[in-house]
Amino acid sequence: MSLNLRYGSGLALALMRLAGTFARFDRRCGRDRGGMATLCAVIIPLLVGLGTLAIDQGYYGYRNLLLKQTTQNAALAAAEELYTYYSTGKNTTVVSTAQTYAGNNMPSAKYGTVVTTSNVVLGTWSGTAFTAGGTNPTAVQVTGLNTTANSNAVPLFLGSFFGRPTADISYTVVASYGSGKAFNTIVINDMSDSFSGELTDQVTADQQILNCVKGVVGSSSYFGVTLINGHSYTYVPLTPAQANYTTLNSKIGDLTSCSGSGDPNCGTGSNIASGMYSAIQQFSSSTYAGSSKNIVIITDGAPNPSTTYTSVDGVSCTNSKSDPCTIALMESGAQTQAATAKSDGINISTIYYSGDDTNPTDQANYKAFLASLITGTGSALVAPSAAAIDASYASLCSSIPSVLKLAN
Amino acid sequence: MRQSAPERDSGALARTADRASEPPCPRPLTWPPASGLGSALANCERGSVAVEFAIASVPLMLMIFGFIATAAVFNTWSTMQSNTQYAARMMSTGQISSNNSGAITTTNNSVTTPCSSSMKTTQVEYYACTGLPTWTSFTVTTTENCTTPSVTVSLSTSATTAAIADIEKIFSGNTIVATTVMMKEGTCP
Repeated sequence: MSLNLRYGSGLALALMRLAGTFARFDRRCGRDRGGMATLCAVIIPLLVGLGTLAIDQGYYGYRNLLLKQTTQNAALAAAEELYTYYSTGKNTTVVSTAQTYAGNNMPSAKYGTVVTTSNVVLGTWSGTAFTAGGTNPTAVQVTGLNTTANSNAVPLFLGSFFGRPTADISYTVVASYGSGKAFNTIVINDMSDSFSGELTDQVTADQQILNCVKGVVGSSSYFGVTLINGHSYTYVPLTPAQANYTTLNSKIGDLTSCSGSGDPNCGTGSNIASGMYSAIQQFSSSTYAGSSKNIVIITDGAPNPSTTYTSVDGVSCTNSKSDPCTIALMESGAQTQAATAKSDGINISTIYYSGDDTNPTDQANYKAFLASLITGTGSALVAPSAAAIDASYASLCSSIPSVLKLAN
Repeated sequence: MRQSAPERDSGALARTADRASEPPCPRPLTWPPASGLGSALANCERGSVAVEFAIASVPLMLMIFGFIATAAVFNTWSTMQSNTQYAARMMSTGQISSNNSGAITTTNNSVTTPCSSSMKTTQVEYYACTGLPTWTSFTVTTTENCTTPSVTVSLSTSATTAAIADIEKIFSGNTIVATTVMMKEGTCP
């Protein structure tokens, strides 16, 4: 200690000099003892105050980080469930997911309700700003609160000595799709007779999905269109979406009828498995290894066996008495292709519209069948009307992995 | 602010003058000391400041070490929280698909292991353990739950060792835990 006092020239030396000053002051007053006590009476509260500030600042920093991360996690999870808005018309799942993940990271028993229902807002992300509301939400804004008004302000250990027992923190995050990575997509259009009346809506959906793939996700995404009847036909092979956007958009726009598309398979039934098999083969190229691969099937869901199918159709049958091409067989073939797609890391989404079929039992069966084909991050969408088919693109886009777009 | 040389000199002179004005404390030249020496020593005030400082420095140092310990704990805790977030995101997006026991599968989906320098960049634990304070040891747990689906990354350490200088045992017996839970995106095994 003596060495420190003599050579330390730090806190101890300064205190010693100050103590000396107090001692001389005391002696002049006729009393020598208690100089250090006086010093401590002044210095210790000062040190306690500064130390308190440091401790509370450290805890505040930790809680700030925790709230920030919690809000981010809640927003990312909520954005992953954005597609449910399109299938249910409600934001219930989106909100509950945000609250669940907020609670997982900051349990309500300890931290209160960090994300309230009103603080999960669906809206649109323009690329630079979030706008709440709208019929086709593309983003979720989540606000996390640790405030007095929310009854969960951050307690400060010793802040009450300074008249500040708690501190308020809030954090707002917007999450939307678009990771900047490739989102390679093949859209399968049902060209069968039963769905021909909705071809215009399918074309619009194709173009919207193309917009989504080329515009939001990144410049390296590939886009293709495959048509299905009884057999598949590669109408637009996988092509870099952004570099060939005009050509692709125009080609899709030319799709006005099966006979005018160049598809040689018109009138051969409806076989979803054939389109899935074709898409899987297209994605088998090493070009797409390790990247996001997605199949979107737009259909009325009704398999219609009317010819002989071979393995390249995703199902094999001769349509004879001994080897009939039944609906069950064709649905099973599609499910087998879905299993292959899953093992290849391909995500499958379906957009179902009942089309001409108004039978509720059929509709329920087809919806269930299409739902059974979903893999990975894909989703089973149901369009309540023909016009809603093209609106489904937004839901599909929302299934693209989410990223944080804005945080403040 | 540093004193100028003349100021320091005048301070030293003042101290010298103070001491010169004090009566010299009697020294015991013989044993047993002469009668009245004890009383004289008791009245001697030389070195009283040093004695008082020695007494006062004990709580002072305790406070300072307490502040250091608490700051170290919060620093460690914040770093742990950041690391769990980073590792969970890597796991959530599928950028990292292996844990310390190999590829994450339906059966190999949860691992608890001490952080070590031998971890590989292909393992999710590496991202949870990188850049942590070196004065304490950590245990990392990673879990991928495909039922929810979610990923959970937790780091834990002893609060006492994280505090570096917990001489008052403020954090004794406590454990610091940082956990991040994220939704699993993409394909879940």
